[in-house]
Amino acid sequence: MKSQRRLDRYISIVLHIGMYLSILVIAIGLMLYALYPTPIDDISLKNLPQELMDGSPIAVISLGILLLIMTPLSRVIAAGVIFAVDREIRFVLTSLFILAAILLAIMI
Amino acid sequence: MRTVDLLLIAGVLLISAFAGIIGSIFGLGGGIIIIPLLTLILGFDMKDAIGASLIGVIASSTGAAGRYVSEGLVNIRLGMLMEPATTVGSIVGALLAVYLDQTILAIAFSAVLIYSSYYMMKRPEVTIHSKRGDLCRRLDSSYLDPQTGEWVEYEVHNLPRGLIASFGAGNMSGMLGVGGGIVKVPAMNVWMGIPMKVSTSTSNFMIGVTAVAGALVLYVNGLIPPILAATVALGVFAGASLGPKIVKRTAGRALRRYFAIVLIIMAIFMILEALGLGGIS
Repeated sequence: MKSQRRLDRYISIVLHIGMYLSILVIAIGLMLYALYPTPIDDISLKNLPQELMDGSPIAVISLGILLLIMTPLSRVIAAGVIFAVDREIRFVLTSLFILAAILLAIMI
Repeated sequence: MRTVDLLLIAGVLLISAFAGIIGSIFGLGGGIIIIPLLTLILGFDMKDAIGASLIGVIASSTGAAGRYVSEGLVNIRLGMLMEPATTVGSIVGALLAVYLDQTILAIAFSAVLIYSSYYMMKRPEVTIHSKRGDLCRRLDSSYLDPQTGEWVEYEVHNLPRGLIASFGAGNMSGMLGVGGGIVKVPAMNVWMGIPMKVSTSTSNFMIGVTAVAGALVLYVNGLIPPILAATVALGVFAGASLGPKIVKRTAGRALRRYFAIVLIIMAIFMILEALGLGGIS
């Protein structure tokens, strides 16, 4: 029971950080866009760093969206680490299996 | 021009906040709300609506789930055991979709929804007794029900059946684009003996991971419309912050009944969709 409460606490922290961080970055991006409207270029993972360097508001918004997408992944990894510390091997394998399944889904 | 823009933004925010509330209360993705409303009412492109709705699902599963997890309502171990089954199920579903008739599939799926709804309305939540393995016992948990102020202890039963249901839920979402939460919640509640509030919040926790694969594929290819998705995310976050507060004041039994009503509405939506009268395809 104690290990479950600790798991709850850490996973909740990861989810909250993901939420606030992405809200912050998305909101900054939207404000910049409202102040300096720029044409909406397609931003993909490849040109994101370049566009960010160029100060594109759309790139800032895209970064916020990327942070949001990474949040569920981060909580799977965080849980895996906590399970590893607690030596719950079955659940460490479960975490790895989830990541593998997502990878498989992306590749297909 | 600016007024039109502002109205459009307000419309998107309103739609996604509504989807965020409903989705976070019932453990659903909310795509079935966001996609038709964005396309039918606001005239967005189907492709853009799907991309934005996937981001909305992740926002719901981040915002509301954060709250549910800290309240101890989410069974994280159970959720994580079921996640890969859903993901693999959705891959198989997407591959099979090419060979199957979507109309027949949607109508058959609606029939299952209506049956589950009937079952949840008619039969009360019962304690299940079954022979359980060591892994199942490891999943047993408890939570403090904020509505009654009581500690509720529960056992997890029929894990293999739950995993098959997760696989099936993934299948449905791969084939029809909807159906993650609406399958998993009744399966957890009716088959596995998990209290309603834990079923919906664990489902809400899980859907984010299910959506990640699809969202990443679109993102890497630059197919997520940034402004629309950002607006949807903010709207869903706002709605998903209200959902857990409503659940807090709702009795598990009432939540189960409302869920049954949502199932019927979904089934009607899907039948309309299958007959070509909806907004999804």
